[in-house]
Amino acid sequence: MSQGDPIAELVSLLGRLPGIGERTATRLTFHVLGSDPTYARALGESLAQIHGRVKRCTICGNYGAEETCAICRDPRREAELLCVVARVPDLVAIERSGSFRGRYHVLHGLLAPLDGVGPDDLPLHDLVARCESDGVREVVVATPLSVEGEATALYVAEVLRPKRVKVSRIASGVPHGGELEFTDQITLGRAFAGRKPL
Amino acid sequence: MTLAPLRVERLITRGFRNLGVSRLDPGPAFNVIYGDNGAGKSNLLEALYYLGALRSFRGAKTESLVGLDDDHAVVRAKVAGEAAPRVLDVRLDRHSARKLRLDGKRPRSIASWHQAIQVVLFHPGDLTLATGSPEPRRSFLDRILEQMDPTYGSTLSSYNKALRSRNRLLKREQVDRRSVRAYDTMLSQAGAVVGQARAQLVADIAPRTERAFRDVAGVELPLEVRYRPRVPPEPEAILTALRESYDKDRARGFTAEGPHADDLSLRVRSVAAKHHASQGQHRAIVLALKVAELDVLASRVGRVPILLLDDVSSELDRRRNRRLFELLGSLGGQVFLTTTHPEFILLEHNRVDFRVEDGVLRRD
Repeated sequence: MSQGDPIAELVSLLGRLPGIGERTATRLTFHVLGSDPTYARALGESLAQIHGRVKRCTICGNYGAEETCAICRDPRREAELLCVVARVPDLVAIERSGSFRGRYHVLHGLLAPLDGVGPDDLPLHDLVARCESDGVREVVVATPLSVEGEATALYVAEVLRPKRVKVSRIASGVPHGGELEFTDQITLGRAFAGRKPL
Repeated sequence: MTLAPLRVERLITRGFRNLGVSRLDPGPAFNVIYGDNGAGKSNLLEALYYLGALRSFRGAKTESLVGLDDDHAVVRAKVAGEAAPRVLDVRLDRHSARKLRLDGKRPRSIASWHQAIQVVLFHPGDLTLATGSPEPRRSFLDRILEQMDPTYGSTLSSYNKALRSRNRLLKREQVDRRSVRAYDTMLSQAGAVVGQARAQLVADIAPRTERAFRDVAGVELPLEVRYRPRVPPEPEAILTALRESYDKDRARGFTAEGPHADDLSLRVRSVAAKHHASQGQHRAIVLALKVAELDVLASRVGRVPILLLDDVSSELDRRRNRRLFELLGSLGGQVFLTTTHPEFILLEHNRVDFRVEDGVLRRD
């Protein structure tokens, strides 16, 4: 297809989304083209407005419709307990589990020197400031169990060490329904180190 | 040895390098693949190696494994072990990810694939094990551990990524010491797992290598095989070493301490093999290491792995050659070897010869 071709343009734009290859992008494009034009218009407007309508919470970085998010405004949430996550979808997953009643701090990234992401690229000063101003007692670090996630967790612990804040890491180990045989040594080692009496 | 050997009962390749469509029904013991240089002998070995290691031993990328006239390559093997034969299927596409099928199904994990087939390879480039820097010796140990222990590979790659990250930080003009310390902790944990696994493996292969060296070299030359860790493989020891070497690391711009600097020391009469031994001895050392690898994999996995010997006749004199085959014969595994001159292979029994010409395979 030649340049300036509207079909090729949409295929290429959709193909930049995660999990969407050229074939799916092509299918989606022709689907939109074959549907009622009002759908395409509604989709386009929704896409165009998403950045204007959704704001990052000025306190924790979560997404919401206002300057501060619903969780930060909720007086029933414990202000002394903070959970650090890498991305908003992680926050959503924890919320869905209903296992945490504190507030969050979203980093929108992880330390990754190989990709040029350093501490100054993450809202870590804000985290320290929040711990001081809100009288936070405990920070739970729920970053992923990857090299970047672990490095970030250890860095958060380093940064908060001089403050009077307890820093904990979510437990890791064998997943529900997981097979011990195929669990890596570090995970198994952690699972044993974190064993609980029955 | 009473262990059941792994046997490739049939190998089918399609579009792999220059092999076109080929079918090989190998014999249970020695398979001699001969032909002129460039005919495709090593390509056949590479296909077999790929099944076991899921990589090329020549460091080739997928697109160079796919034949020039093909858009994808298939390597399929029926492999008999102790129970029912298994069918292993690899499809390599020029432009998309590799697809693996084990008995027609996607394997649950790479680990379950590695449990189905183990191969040991000896090719001329392996001589750097005896003559080169510590790097090939470390990866020799790492490749064995990956085949034996499904989780070793992921621990090692975490270690390597944390190491590259720390080195990147050390090269910066401004360094936040706290972020370096975060990596110190990770390196000490993963590094201890890596170092302990290697130390245990060397304890297993050292006596086997020393014995095989005597058998292959045929003279009473004492070979000494030892693991030489840079830092003792304990988390505290590695952490302390990293913290103490920070200033030096910063000046040099890389991390000096840790299992990435370990070595497998090979000494003949108490002198490092690379400084001392003759070329013939270097070859005998490497073959002894490979025999030990085969032996240790066999005892840990419970089956004798498939042995691939690339261009072996040019690598050894005839006397050693014969001893090697006797030794291999006693292990009872299936062997594939390539040569330009089948008459160099001094084997009278248990042998099937295949001729390769322009990528076409014919049984003699």
